[in-house]
Amino acid sequence: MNESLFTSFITPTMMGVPIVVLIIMFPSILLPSPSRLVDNRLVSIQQWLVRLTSKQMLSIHNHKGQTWALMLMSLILFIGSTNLLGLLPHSFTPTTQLSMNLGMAIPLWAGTVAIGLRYKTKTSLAHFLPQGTPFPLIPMLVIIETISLFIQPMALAVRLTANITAGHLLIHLIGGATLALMSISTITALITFTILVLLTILEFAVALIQAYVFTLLVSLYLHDNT
Amino acid sequence: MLQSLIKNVWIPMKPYYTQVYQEIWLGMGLMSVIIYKIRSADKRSKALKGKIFASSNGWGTKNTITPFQDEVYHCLQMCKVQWGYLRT
Repeated sequence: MNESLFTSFITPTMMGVPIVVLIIMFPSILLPSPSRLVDNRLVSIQQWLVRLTSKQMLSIHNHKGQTWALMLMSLILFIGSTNLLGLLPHSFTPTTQLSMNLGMAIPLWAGTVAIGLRYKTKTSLAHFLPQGTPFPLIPMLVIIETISLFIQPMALAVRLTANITAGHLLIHLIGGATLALMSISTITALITFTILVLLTILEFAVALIQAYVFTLLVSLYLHDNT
Repeated sequence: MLQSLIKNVWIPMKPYYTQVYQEIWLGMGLMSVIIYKIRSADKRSKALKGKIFASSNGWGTKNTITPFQDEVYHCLQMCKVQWGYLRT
């Protein structure tokens, strides 16, 4: 049981060839790009969702921040679709890998910090010291603010990894428990199965919420620096 | 294929790749530096562990390891790894 618990997180290979890149590229096939003035239902629904999300997410940004619209929308679509596809049985979820999430978090966070330092240097550096700080506390607070700045990409990546991994592990454990209890006590197995169904519904919500939280935080870091 | 890639990807995305995402390219460079540092540190620590293992088993007593010794050591390491996999 212990051996099989973590096998779903091993990067998949097919005859010795790693196929992770194909799996990462797979969600883009499910999201067709609009090519006509009036598209079919699937593309229209997709367009409507993207428009709704982009309006909500980009309303706080100025002109400079809105140039990142494509990046932010791609990010939320990618993470959301990858997380949802990972809920299929026996599938591999790239967002359970910390390396993948760090690979998304570090460039985006560093990009926002670089924008702030490039276009609004004084304002960016002023973020290291909150307004109204008492004079004796200034050195300590600058250190704390610097640490909190550098923790941001780590927190972004670890939050997504931990949430998705924990959810998958729980589903695996409770599913295994349901199967084991079926031969012991049917009623207990039914209760465990109900818990499993509720957990799966929760995981659907978590998949979308985590995508939204990741993108929203990147958007907030961008807003602070533009 | 390259022409269709240029026509469908590069031409529409050129203003993004060249102007909007300049800072993101900088972030990607920073990330690649971090990855390089981590990988080289890992290789160095593994090489150091290998040298300690080799010296404790009597290899390289003149501070030089012959290619034959190196090959035998490498085979021993691979056998250890395979045995580890078989046991689990």
